[in-house]
Amino acid sequence: MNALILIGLPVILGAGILVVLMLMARIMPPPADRKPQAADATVAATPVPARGPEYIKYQAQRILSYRRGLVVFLGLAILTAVELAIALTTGNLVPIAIIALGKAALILNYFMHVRTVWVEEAH
Amino acid sequence: MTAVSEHAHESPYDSYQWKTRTNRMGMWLFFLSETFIFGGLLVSRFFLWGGTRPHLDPWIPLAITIILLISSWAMNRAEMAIAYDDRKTFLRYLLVTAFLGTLFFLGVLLFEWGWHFDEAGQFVLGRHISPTDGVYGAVLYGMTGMHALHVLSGVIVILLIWNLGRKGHFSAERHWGVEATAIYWHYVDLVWVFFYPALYLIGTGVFPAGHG
Repeated sequence: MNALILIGLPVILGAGILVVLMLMARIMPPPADRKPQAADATVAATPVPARGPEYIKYQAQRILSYRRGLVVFLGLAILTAVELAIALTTGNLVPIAIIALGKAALILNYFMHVRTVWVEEAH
Repeated sequence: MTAVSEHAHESPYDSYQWKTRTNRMGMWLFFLSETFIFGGLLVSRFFLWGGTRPHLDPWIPLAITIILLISSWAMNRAEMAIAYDDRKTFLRYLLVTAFLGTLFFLGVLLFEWGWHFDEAGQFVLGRHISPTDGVYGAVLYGMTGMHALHVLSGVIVILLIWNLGRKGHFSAERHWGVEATAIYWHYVDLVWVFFYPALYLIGTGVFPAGHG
């Protein structure tokens, strides 16, 4: 077990560094080669529209983004409860580790917007 | 200098979009370096504790975990709010996040670490387990301490962002500061996702010497 950790962790971290370097090489060409980024950095980089159908659509998107955050939070809370239930009953490491990885994926994808690192027009 | 000559010297590297892209990359590289710290602590837990853990009340960690999860949701809401130019919601939920972060920090210090007044009226540490209780105390205090330090720094940054937002900074088009703070806060939550089961759920509960 200890040997596995000592060997496995540097391998995983090394692979992580390699992936990051590859992403950097892929997404950061010289600016001259790049098209202008309209909605690059922000979640909703368009100005608030004036009243009318566009405004209603804009507000609907805003409410949808709030709702998505709430659903992710509820998912995380349910997974935490399941984690505790498993710990109190079987205490098995494997399902707890899988659930922890699932929670991490939710946080990385929906809360930390990890895809914005490599997707040009994210959000 | 005329406007035309100013334009002529404008580099594409000066654009907000380019700066945000490089800032974002720097932020994720920072997270990578942080992962080495927290990963090292996590490895030390499994190396030193193996299939055991100190026997502790599971409900206090669960309560502070839920508080941190709610704070993550509040931070996400604040970020979404400024992305849609909803400044009122943005400021309100930043305060909610800072409050819950402070609650988490105090929960760790007062309940988990057990700062309390003893019979002599001294403010002492370790109601359940103390840092000197061998590997159990050392690892538990090391991991929770390092995490709590990040929570505290996160709360400070959130309050700085709140103050800037109150003065009119940030908009739907330009809010990298908010985005960086939000992903930092979620990173703190992400770390706890692994620390919580490693410290309180996995392994057989044992009583460290002198705490039976």
